[in-house]
Amino acid sequence: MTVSHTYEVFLKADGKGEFRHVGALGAADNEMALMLARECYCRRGEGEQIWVVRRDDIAVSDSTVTEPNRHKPHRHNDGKRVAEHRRELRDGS
Amino acid sequence: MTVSTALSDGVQEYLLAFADDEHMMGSHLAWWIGVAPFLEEDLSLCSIAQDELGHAIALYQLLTDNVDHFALRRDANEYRSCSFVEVAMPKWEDTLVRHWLYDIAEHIRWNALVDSSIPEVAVIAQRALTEEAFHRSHSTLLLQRSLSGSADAKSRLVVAMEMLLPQSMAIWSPVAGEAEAVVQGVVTQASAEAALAYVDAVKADLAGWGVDVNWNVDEAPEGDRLLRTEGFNEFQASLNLVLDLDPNAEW
Repeated sequence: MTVSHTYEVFLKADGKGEFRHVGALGAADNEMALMLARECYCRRGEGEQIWVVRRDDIAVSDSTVTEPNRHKPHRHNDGKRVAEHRRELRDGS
Repeated sequence: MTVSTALSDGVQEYLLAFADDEHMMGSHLAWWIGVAPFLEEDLSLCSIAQDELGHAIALYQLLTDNVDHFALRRDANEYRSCSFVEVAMPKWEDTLVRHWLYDIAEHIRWNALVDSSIPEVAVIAQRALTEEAFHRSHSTLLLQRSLSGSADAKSRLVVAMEMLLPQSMAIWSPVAGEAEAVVQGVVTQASAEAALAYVDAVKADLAGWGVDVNWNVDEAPEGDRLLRTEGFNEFQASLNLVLDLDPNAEW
């Protein structure tokens, strides 16, 4: 029995760019998913390479994994203190 | 496109028949935009339709300077399309089976043009074949998966095959000009010979899928391309709907 699976589709443009997520589609298997991804997301040559990944095969976190890292301002560096330090060294003050 | 060689009437008729087939198939496939059973196929079929229409335009450009008028405004008796591509197929299973059969045939037809004595035809054929590989792949992948679906899906597809396999032989109904095209080396394989390769390829696919279909292979019907099928005028009128709004508009 043929079953449709949801696939996430990624495209990589020419050159050294990274793969980027462009959408999803339903397909029976990997081969069919690549064929449909070509027609649905790359019909104007938007990508040089295509990845399709079954959504079921993606490991997904929940918010408990990311939540503790949301309030850590000490891990944000806007460069002001480094710039200030360099200015002090340059000015000799 | 400027053709380096003057085309004889017979050669023009031969190229016209192929162009009209591509035109009809592309137009019928494009009908599915917005109404295909699922979005992915909606888009895929329309991409393929655009390719087929592109092939038609490339061939029409060898025959006329006014492609739109030539493609859409001729009298019905001036078309040379075969009956198999003219009829509307609003059932999804019929469309899928026709797509599969037509693209097997199309692949064979373009292959017979890659060594054409007319360089412009050879160039078009080479380009078309790169696209046809994907059309073939698309139809066979989808059909194979659909045949392994529910018993109802398989049964409907087999009914469609048994209806369309005999009808598909009309693709190989030659126009009178074909003999001239063969003699001049415009095409390297006559329809009768190509039909044999077609039957073998179809049977190979069916065997690979383990599908038994009743099909008594007949020869291509004679004179098929000189007759328009029922509904042709309405279909042609539907293709002209927008153009008729303002026939003098420039696009």
